[in-house]
Amino acid sequence: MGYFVEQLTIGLSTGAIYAIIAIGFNLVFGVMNVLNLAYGATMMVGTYGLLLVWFLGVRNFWLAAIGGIVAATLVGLIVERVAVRPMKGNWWNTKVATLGFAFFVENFVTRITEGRSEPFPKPFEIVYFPVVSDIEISNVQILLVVASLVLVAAMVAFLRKTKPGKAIRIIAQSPDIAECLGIDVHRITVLGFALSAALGGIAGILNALTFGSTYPYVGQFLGLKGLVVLIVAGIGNMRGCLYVGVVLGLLESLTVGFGGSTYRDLVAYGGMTLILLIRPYGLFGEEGRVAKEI
Amino acid sequence: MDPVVVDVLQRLHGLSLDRMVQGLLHHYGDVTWPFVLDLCSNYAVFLTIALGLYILMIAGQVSLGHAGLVGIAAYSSAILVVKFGLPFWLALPICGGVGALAGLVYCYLFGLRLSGFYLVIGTLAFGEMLISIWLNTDYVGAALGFSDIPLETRWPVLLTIVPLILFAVRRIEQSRFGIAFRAVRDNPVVAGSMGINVNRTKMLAWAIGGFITGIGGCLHAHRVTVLTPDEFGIYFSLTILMAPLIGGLRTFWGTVAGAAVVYFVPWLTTTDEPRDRLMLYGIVIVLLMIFRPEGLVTPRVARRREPAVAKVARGTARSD
Repeated sequence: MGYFVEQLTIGLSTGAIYAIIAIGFNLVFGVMNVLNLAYGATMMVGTYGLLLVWFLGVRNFWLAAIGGIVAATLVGLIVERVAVRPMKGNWWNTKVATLGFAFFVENFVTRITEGRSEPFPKPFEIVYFPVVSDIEISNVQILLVVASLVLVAAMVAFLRKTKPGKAIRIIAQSPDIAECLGIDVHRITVLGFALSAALGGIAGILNALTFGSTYPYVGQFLGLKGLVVLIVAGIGNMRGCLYVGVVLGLLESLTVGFGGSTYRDLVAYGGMTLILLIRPYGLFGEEGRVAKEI
Repeated sequence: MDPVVVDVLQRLHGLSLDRMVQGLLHHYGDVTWPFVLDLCSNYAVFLTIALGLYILMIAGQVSLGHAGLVGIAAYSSAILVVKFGLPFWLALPICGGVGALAGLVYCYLFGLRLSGFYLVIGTLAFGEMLISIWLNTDYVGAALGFSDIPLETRWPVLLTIVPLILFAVRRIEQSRFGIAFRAVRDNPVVAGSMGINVNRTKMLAWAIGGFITGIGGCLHAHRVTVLTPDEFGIYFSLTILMAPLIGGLRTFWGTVAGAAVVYFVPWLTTTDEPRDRLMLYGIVIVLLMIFRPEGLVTPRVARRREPAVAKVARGTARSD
């Protein structure tokens, strides 16, 4: 019983990270119809930005984390300027260009850091709180779950209540009509990219925090998992991302705990294939949501 | 200052342009003819695989699980040759058949049900799922990989097979099938109303594309001699997909040129430091997409070299 619950808590915290990544993806992909393959690289830059600030002498985790998030946001803006805007909405060209950009950033970081796994600073000593008899939850896990819940709530509120959030949703439906309504499409797009990259930076830092280390290719694996969550949840749906992310995290950790770690990806991708065959638009998606010609 | 930061700054300085150019020149000095031959052989194998995808793409079937298809053929050729002792030349057509069958499975699962973006993602998930299956099968070596495959794909083999495939793809593209493929891609409803059986056309495209990919996979297995599941992941699929995209709006010569860019540019930019290579490769891709958004071989260039049949076809089906 204790082992089962332990796997559940691990699953919950990885699921929380998946959910945050999927939400970041959702902002540019679901809402702006841009598949940003450099998103994994953005996450990685978040962790290395934190490390850079840390090694420059700021021995405070939270200040360094702000540095990391700023670095990720800057890289997100560069991606928008270099690999998205010049493509003028051409779906395939954007995809190839962002992939090329990811190649560049990942190998640049590998080049200047020798590409080894870097130990990651901790914000506080990891403490395990006993909950019931032999079941324990660590403060990092609590931080992860709370952070993802807060971020999802904030994103939903942002998209539904605030002016820029509503503008993003209008652009998603039709950029032309958005322009007619007096929305600065260009500026809102940049804002969406910055937000998404910041979320990516947060997700990368939280992931590095759970594993205690980071490496230049960490984003490839994370980005792919985020994409899986987004597709299964249904493109454009923020709360769906939270549910599916957590369920995927739980399923994966239970598979690792009771089946073996090599079956983990089989569950994720096999489940995704099945769901796509039964519900091609995702569990929470609406039909015809990004069905634009590609 | 922290020693880590000093280290990073030093390595940043090592990135200066003249050092890279020096490394590049140094590297070119070492090039030998066997190496060039090797490189061209690898390119020929890659081109075969990319042409398999090209056939799918003229029918509007974009697959991001294409590396999975390559993997199926590669693994079956390895099993046939190593475990059952079949000669390579017999395994080659069988692998083509296996590839065609696998293509039909892809078609039945995804091609007939999904379209556009969802097709891309569905095939991607299936390809990644295949990797986990291989990783868990001890019969094909699991994570350690399938080793001891005899090296058979030398240049005489490639020099007979690859021109044949190039010729076949060119002919298929210009035939009635090719025209039907394009019609289905441009507008399935109109194509159906003109008497084209849309589902059967898609299945045909997957079968032919799968066959060519299967041949490519077999050549690949007997070229690299060791197969590991991880190499057939999304990054291989994306590399294959980049060939038709970089080369130019899904045209035949574009695919040939694009495959050359995808395959040769990383080697042309090799310096002493292996990481520089992929870094420069990334820059080249982004620059190509910015300055040649229509690809290397634009339709205008391609059209000049097009035979009359295709020009007539253009009147009936909107192309590119």
